[in-house]
Amino acid sequence: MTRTQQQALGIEEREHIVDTARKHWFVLFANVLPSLILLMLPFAVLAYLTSNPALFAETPLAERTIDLTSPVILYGALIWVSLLWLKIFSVWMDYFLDVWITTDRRIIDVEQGGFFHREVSSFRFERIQDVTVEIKGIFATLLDFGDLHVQTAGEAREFIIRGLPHPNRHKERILKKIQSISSAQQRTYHDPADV
Amino acid sequence: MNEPPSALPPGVTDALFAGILGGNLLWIITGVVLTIFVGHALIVVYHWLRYGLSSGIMMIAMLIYFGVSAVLAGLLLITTAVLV
Repeated sequence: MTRTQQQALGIEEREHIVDTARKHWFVLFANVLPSLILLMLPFAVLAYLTSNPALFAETPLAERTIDLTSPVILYGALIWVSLLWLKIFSVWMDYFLDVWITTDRRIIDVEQGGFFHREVSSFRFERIQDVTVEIKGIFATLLDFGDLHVQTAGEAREFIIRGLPHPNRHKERILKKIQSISSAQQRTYHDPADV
Repeated sequence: MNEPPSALPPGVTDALFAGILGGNLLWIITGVVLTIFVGHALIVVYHWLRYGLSSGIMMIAMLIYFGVSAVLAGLLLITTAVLV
């Protein structure tokens, strides 16, 4: 990540990126799947129709043959594939730009909703009050991914990081960091040199 | 004997209308699809330059994206030319 990109995310000069996480690959797969099904659908229907001419036995279409290699079919297929290709790439880009960055001071959550909606939220470790993990569904349970709910102090706001791989591991890491920050603060408050 | 009134607007001849419905329509559809391609590519490049320039995965994805898009656009142009 370049310094300009770090600045755009509000990362300070002495701040170090500890970890970068994206949504689980299954989330990407689930988002791409409808487009893949739509991509295959007309070809599957055409293949089925051409392999079953008996379906048209008593209709006017019986005398006509469908040539799958004809330029008209190819033209229609190319337009269909082109538009779905753009859609699939947009889904991938959306997935890739959704990122969760952990620095030594805070967590930055970048939510990209399509090409024209981008939300960057950040919260410092010392402001975190509660961290909850939510794993819902059979795939999430088997593949170990889920949502991480982070409740922060001050603003009554809850950050939800969706589709995070190994959410319990992230939760433990956050809690450890919070613990180390609070014990460091306690040491500062109860320094024997001050008594 | 009076001719029946034409359904076409004034200035639009049957030949022009037939042309639009024939080969020209295919070129118009191809043009629209290619315009969508170019618009999409511009938005993708903007996001790449702004947010993902330093990423290797993004670079590979861009190569795949432009490679596949170029092949699809080329095939679309060739098929349109063959059909027209």
